[in-house]
Amino acid sequence: MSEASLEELLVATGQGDAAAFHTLYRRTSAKLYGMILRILPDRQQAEDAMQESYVRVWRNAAGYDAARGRPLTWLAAIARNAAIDRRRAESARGDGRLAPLEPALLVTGADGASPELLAALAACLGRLEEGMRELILAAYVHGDSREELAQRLGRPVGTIKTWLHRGLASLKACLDG
Amino acid sequence: MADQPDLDAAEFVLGTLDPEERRAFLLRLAREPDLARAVSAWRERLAPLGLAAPDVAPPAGLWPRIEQAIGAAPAAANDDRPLRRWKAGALAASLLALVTTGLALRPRTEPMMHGSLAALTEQGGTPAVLVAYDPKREMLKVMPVAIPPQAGRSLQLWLMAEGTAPESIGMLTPGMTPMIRRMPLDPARRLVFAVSVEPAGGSPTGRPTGRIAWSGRMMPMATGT
Repeated sequence: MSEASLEELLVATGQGDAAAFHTLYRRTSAKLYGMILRILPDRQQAEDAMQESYVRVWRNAAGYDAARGRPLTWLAAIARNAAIDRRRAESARGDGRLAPLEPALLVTGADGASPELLAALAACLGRLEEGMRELILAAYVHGDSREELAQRLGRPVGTIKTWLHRGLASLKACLDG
Repeated sequence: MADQPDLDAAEFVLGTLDPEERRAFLLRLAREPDLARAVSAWRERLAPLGLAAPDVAPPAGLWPRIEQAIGAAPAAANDDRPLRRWKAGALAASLLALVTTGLALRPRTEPMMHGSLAALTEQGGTPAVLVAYDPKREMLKVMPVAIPPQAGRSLQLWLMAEGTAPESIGMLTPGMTPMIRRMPLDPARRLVFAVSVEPAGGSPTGRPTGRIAWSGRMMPMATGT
């Protein structure tokens, strides 16, 4: 029995196929929930962000274009944006908690990050100065804002932007070759 | 070499722009295809970090919440009988008449709710898009009539119901076949449909970010119109 690919499920979802959308959810929700929890450690907030994410997937699936990237990358971007929006709103209310900074776990599965891309990124991150690497990881994995990054690293907010730019520029030069 | 706009794109993807910078960036994103490409490139570079998250099963109650939020009951697989009835129905015939004559719709004084229609125009001109709704089957049908090609941009259709945030229906392309969506709507509410011009791939925010090309209000159709 051959399974529909994520791309096929996404295209079908864009045509209003609710059964395909359910299958897409079953195949991707654990990955997206895991991503969101690293940004929103509070389960209630994480569930709200999950709901928001999949509603956006349902409504925007017709706009997915394979030329723009893999389906899971597209889904992950939606989930991450929903989680960050939520996190920024919560910290504006003063409810946000900083997630503990853990090293990014190198987990790959059939539908996860490609091993080659992950290895390249890990290698290039490894070449950055430690402070810069931590900034990028905390921002991307945990969704820290500039203020939170400053707080986490004990640095003034003004220097955070400069450091981020230097780190990102080095990362790009390393990845793009 | 990473230049300033490229680094802004990187920070946008990272999520570290402050609200004001983010707003300004989104405006530029709507107008500059190069910026959209820079954003895509950074997403691809950083995506493995996010995708490397360990799986965590969400609670069982989450899926029913999502289902309810999108308004879909569990669908029977491969059941296209309602669609065939739709195509054969009187509503479709009325729409065909509308397309060929290009007339704007005028409601009768005693409308019989056979369905609703929105003709999306630029300030009342020739309709570019027709959106029809069958309340009995809760089916929305989107028919592009005259859509000019948009280089480097995407056309995105939105539902603006009074009092709620704009909701994306989907993307429109010239020459596409009609889009059919199952969608519970209350045609008695004031429903406006609008098409915005977005960066390639659609709005990055889940709200319209570009100019509105065509819009129109949904009105009830009387039988035999």
